Parts: sequence; structure tokens; C-alpha cells
Amino acid sequence: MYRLLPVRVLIALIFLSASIFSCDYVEYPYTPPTPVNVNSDTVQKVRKVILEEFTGHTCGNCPTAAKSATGLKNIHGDKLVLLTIHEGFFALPQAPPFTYDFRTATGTAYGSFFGVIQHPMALVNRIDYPANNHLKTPGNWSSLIDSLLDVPVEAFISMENDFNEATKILDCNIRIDVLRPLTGTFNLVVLLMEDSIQKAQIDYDVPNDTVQDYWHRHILRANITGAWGDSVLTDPQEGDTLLKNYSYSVPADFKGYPVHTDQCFVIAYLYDATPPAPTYRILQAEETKIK
Amino acid sequence: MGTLKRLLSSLLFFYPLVCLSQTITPGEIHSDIQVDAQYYRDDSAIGATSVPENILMNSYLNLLYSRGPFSGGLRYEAYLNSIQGYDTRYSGKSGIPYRFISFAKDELSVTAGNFYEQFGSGMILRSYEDKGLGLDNSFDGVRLQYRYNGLQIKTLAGKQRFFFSLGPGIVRGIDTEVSINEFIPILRDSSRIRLILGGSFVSKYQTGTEVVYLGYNLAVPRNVGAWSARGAASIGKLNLSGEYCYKINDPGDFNRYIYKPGTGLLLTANYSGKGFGIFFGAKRIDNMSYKSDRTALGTDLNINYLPALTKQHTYSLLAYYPYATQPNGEIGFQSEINYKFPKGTLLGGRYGTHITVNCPSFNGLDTARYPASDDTLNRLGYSSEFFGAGKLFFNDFNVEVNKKISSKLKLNFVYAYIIYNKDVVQNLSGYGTVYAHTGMIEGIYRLTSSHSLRLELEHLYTLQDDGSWAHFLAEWGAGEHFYIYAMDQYNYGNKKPEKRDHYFSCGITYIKSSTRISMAYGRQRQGYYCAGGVCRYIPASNGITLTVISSF
Repeated sequence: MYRLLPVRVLIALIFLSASIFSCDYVEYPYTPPTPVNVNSDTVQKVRKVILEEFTGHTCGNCPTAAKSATGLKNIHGDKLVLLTIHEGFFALPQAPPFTYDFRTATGTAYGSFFGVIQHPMALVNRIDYPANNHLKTPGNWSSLIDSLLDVPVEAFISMENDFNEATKILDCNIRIDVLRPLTGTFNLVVLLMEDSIQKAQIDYDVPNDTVQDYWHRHILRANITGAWGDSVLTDPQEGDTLLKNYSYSVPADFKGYPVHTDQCFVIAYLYDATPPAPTYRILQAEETKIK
Repeated sequence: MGTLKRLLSSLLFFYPLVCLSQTITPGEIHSDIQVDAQYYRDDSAIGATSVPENILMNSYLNLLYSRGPFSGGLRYEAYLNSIQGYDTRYSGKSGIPYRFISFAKDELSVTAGNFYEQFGSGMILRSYEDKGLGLDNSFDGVRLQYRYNGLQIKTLAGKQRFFFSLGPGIVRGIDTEVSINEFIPILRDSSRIRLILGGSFVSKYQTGTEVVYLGYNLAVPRNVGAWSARGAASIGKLNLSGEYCYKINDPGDFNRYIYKPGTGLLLTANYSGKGFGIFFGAKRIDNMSYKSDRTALGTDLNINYLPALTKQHTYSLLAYYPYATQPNGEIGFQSEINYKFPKGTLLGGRYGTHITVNCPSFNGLDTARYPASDDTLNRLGYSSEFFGAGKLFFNDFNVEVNKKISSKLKLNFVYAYIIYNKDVVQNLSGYGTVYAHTGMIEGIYRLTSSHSLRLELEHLYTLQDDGSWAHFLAEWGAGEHFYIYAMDQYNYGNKKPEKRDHYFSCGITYIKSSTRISMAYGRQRQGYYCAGGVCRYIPASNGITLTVISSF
């Protein structure tokens, strides 16, 4: 003889079953873009976020992430600074057409320091370091950038560049305006970025997995200050200003690939380097063409 | 006087506890501990580097207490810092990521805290732990299990472990399994025919209704459900089983935010008679990565497990090209025949000869990508033929012969021809497909009742990848407790002469009762360690390793 299931167990199971039968079917996933007031007026002191994306030319999933980053740039305009760092296994020169080398000592140092073992991954203002979830996948970028842009700006960076075509000397004049009192030590990093270089790239979204004339965007080419920058501010007060000038000789080529100076930018950012445990959080970023 | 008063007060305070301890049994406590430590040296020839800490160490301690219907346990883990090849998100962390309390009485069992669970073959839900892979996706929540004659119902709700925190999603699930024999009188006492049916439903919840991907604003589901149905039948010596699963739209980083439903099918059949067995399994997986975080990648926060249907080789060079299950799409099969030539026959000899022929093969799916212009409404990504096969991912034809020559000597032979699409399996580019012939001969000779000698020779021949390898291992079972070995792997066929390296190592293992201590010194080549179709990359290293495992 079989006993009936105890009523209370049945009720509990039915209740639990009902609660889990939840499925959200999405029949039309595309939604209209959220209206964003893209403000390109750099005089207005707004928060600017930097997304440092780690990539490589044989990383077949990276072009999709790059498109995602470009899409976000289209939405946020000047409020978002993109920097693409070629490093790690996927950036190693390989058999043709992947013989070129976009790696830099600075990029390798960043990849190693921030523990990049997967691509594509990005740092968004380097937040969540050292909690060990600082490396963000593309699906996280948008909401993170939105939330960071909502935070009142703490310091503002303005920049003017003067590039001498004859001598190839770049003079970079940077001004930092502190808008809120800050505690700690802050470093300024200045980098050279070259945008839009056409070279081959593995892309798993195309039939034969290779795009011969892929447009590489926002490539880290060199550092002007050093990978970890110069210590420029300690416990600054609201209203403090700082002027820094850097002079840099732009080389004719990087690892055999000629530099197109009309596609070069200077990127500067300020980050928290307070000893003994810097958070590396980036407070503000800025980018300006060298000419 | 004051001291006496305090003593009396203390005795009065503890008196009830003392009385209690006399009437209640104390229960049982079990524990096991594992420490893996490695000292690293620089070895530029093989790309091995030292570490600033000099020594890296992973440590685990399990404690389990049970008393009557109650049980509880915890696991302490420390990665100070984590051994190379482990996810750096473990590094520098320690704590108790696993603890639970459980009550089981009669038909009912309840667990609160962390637990591992599997529904059916695991295609829509399986949480498990594998230290070798650095993988632990246990649930933290509540599980209720009810068994009643031939009926078993399991329900659960929880979040998943994500290193030393929890993933953002909530997983809910129910699984039911019915033993048909218990409900059909003529089958109830049958030992020849057994029938089992089962079904599961799992739903995950994650906040957020919209993401920006490729510049598009996409509506994403907060609740993603998956179901499966399964059956198993055994009729005499024949066993059949099958499971089909389906997952609704589940866009995420792991599938590039496509909304195509996921499906999975697993069929197995085996027959085993005296001295003879045959197995056949088939599997088709389409977009079945199921994670409790839509932004997770790799092995992070897997809710499900897609069973491996390939042979897991244990010999070093045979395991050089292991297959990793491809959750976004694969189709394949595995067949295996084993036969024992009886004693006294020409091939069986005095002790009999055992032979196994095994052949798994896996391809990608035959898919057609929707052009972006045609996929602007539903974003399904691609279409796939159910029985169509795309490019070959993996094929392994292997034969194993086990032969006892005398009461002291036993020989094992293995030959394998492996076709390995390195780009797909290891998610790389530019390596192409590797074709590798591997042979292995092993001899185990019993010197005395407590001493033995094991010799292992392997050779891997390939023109691709790193070229050919040779492997030699000698192991001496020195008495009841000690094993001493020395081995060398030589990449003599590397196309780059400067990479033709020897990987020499030696070590000693001490085993007594439930304690095992191993120490080894030497080089370890880079490679992939795989278990159950899930893999972890291990970088090349040079140094000393120490492993201690003990339990009581």
C-alpha cells in the first residue's frame, strides 16, 4: 500500500514549483537608444571615464568587444576615452599576416600587474582594484560607465598640444583643476595613442575568421610619463590648480610601422596612488589630438 | 574565599552541560586536509619564471560533523598566493567559502548553506568542485529533497560561489525522478527490467533589463528557464539512457548576446556480457552555456555541466591533446568495444588478454550565420541543422591492450591517433589542426611482495604544433609506503631547435594509512589539464612541488 504524500510537503513543492516557473521571453530585443546628451564642450567640467581594453590581433572574440567599445563611444562622445592595449599571448607576432607587433612595455606591464589572463577584458577607471573583480567583460562596460559618469567630477584635466612637424617634438601642456578636496597622493599618466591602423585581425564573426584590413582603434603606442606616471598632487584642496609640461620626441615608427601623426592623440589621466595601498582608481581622463 | 566562590559558581554553571553530555552521544567528526605548495625557479629555456613570493601554496581543510539526523560541515581554503595556472582571482584570499547544515529524517532531507547538486546528467544543472581545475560552483541557499518509494523530488534555490564571493544571479530548480518499477506491479520485483523517468526545470534570475552591446540597446531577460526530460532503461545486460534539454533565450557575453534557444541531447547505450562490453554514446549541444551571470565567461558561474563523451587518457603524452567540451555547439559520438580473450586461447594465453577499442569524434555544428541585415528583429545569430556536422574539432581512435605475462609481470599497450583542432579547443588562432600518433608501453614487474618496478615509454609523433615528443618514466615501489620515480620528456621534434628541451623530474611519495605526501623536483611542461571536458591551462614551471593529503 502506498501512503499519500504528506499534504504539507505537496503544498510546499507546488508553491516552490510555481515560483520557479518563470521565463522572460524576449521577442524583440532591440530597444531605442537611451537619449544621451553628448557634451563635447571640454570647458564644461564634466566627468570623463577611461576604458582600457586588453586585446590582441589573434584574439577572435576581441573585434566584437571593440565594436561594443566603439558603440559606447558613439553614445558618450568626449565623456568616454578609449585605450586599446595589445598585450599577452594574443598580441604575439605570428605567421603572416600577423607579423606586426602592437605590444608596448607599458601595455605588458599593465597586463601583468592587473592579472589579465583572458581577452577581451577591460578596466573601467580601474575601479574594483584590488578587490580582484576589476577586469570587466563587455557586458559590464555600459552600466559601469553610466554609473561612473553620474559621479560628480573631482578633478578636471585640460590639455593643449603643440607638435613641431620639422623636429617631431611634441609639447604637451596639461592643467589639472581640483574641484573637490581630496585625500591622498595622485599620479598623472600621459600616454601616446594612435587611432585607426589597418592591419589583419582574427575575427570569429567572419566566415574565414580573418579580416585582412581590420581597423585597429585607439592603440597604446608609447608612454610619455612612464607607465605609473608622476606624483603630482597630495591632499589637494578645492580650487588648487597644477600645470605640467611634457616634451616628447615622436619616433618615425614603432617597431617598423610608420607613425601617422595626424592620427595620434595624447591621453592623460589622474589616478589614486596613495601609499601604502594605492587603489589605482582613475579620477579623470582626457584625450586631445597632437595636432 | 573569593576564589572558592568563583570555582563553585563555575561548577554550578557547567553542571547542566556535564549532565547533558552524559545522555547525548557526541556524534562523529571527520576531516581531510590537502596542501599543494610549489617553489618556482627561473628557467628561460622553457618560459618558466620564479615568483616574488618564492613559494605559492593552495590549502584546503574539510570538516564534517554528523550526529543523528543532523550533519554540518565547512571547508577552509587558503591561496597564499595561488599556484601558477590557477585563476588569479583566488590569489591572496583565504576563508570559509563552503559551510552547511543538513537535516535528514525518513523521506525528507533539508540542507541550508552550501551544497552540490546535479539534475540528471547535469545538462541544465550541476554544481561540483574540482581542485585540479580550480573550479567550484557550489550553491549557497536551501535544498529540499524528498524520497518516497520510487519517487524522488529535489528543489533548490541559491546563489553560486564566485571565488570568495557569490555570483549576482539566483538559481531556482526542481527535479523529479520516478522509478517506474515501483508503480507497475509486474515490474516491481523484476531484476531484469528497470525503468526510470525524470524531468527537471531550472530558472535563473539576474537583475537588469537592458544592456548595450555593439552600440545597440538590447532588452535582456531577467528570468531564463531551462528544462530537461530523461529516461533510462535496463533490460538484462543492455542499458539505455537519454536526456534532452532546452533553454529559452539567454543572451550573454558567452554567446555574444544572441537570443537563440539552447538545446542539448545526450544518448547512451551499453551492453556488457561476460568478457565483452560495447558502449555507444551520442551528443549534440547547441548554445547551451548556462550561467548565473550574463557577463561571465570561461568556466565562471556555470549552472550546468555538459558531460564529456571522450576518453580521459591518464598517460602523459596520450593526454597531451585533451578535448574540452564546446558549450556553444558541438555534435559527436563515442563508441567503445572491450573484449577479454579467455585464458588458454591463442591470444588469451595463460591469464587472458583484455583489449579495448575506443573512438570518440566531435565536430562543430553545421550552422549558417544570419546576415546582420536579416537578423534585426530577433537576433537569433545563426541557424543550425540538427543532424548536420561542421568542421572537425576532435577525433581519437585508440586501442588499449592489457596483458598479464606471468604472476610477476604485467604489460599494458596503448596506441592512439588523435586529430585535434587546437584553435577551437584551446580558443586560439593560427595553430590549425594537429594530427598525432601516440604509442605507449608500460610494464609492471613485482620484485617481491612489497617491491615493484614500473617502466613507461611513450612516443608522440606529429608534424604540427610543437612536433614530436618522447617520454620515459621509471617508478620503484620501495616497500609498503614509498614510491620513487624519475621521468623525462623530450620535445626532440620541435621545429625550433632551441625549443628541443628536456623536461626532467623526479619525486618521492610516501603513503601510510590515509596520508599521502609527495615531493617532486624538476621541470613541468606547459599544457592543459582537463577533467570531464573542462580544462585548465598550466604554464611551464621549474621547481619543487609538495603535496600533502590526509584524512581522519
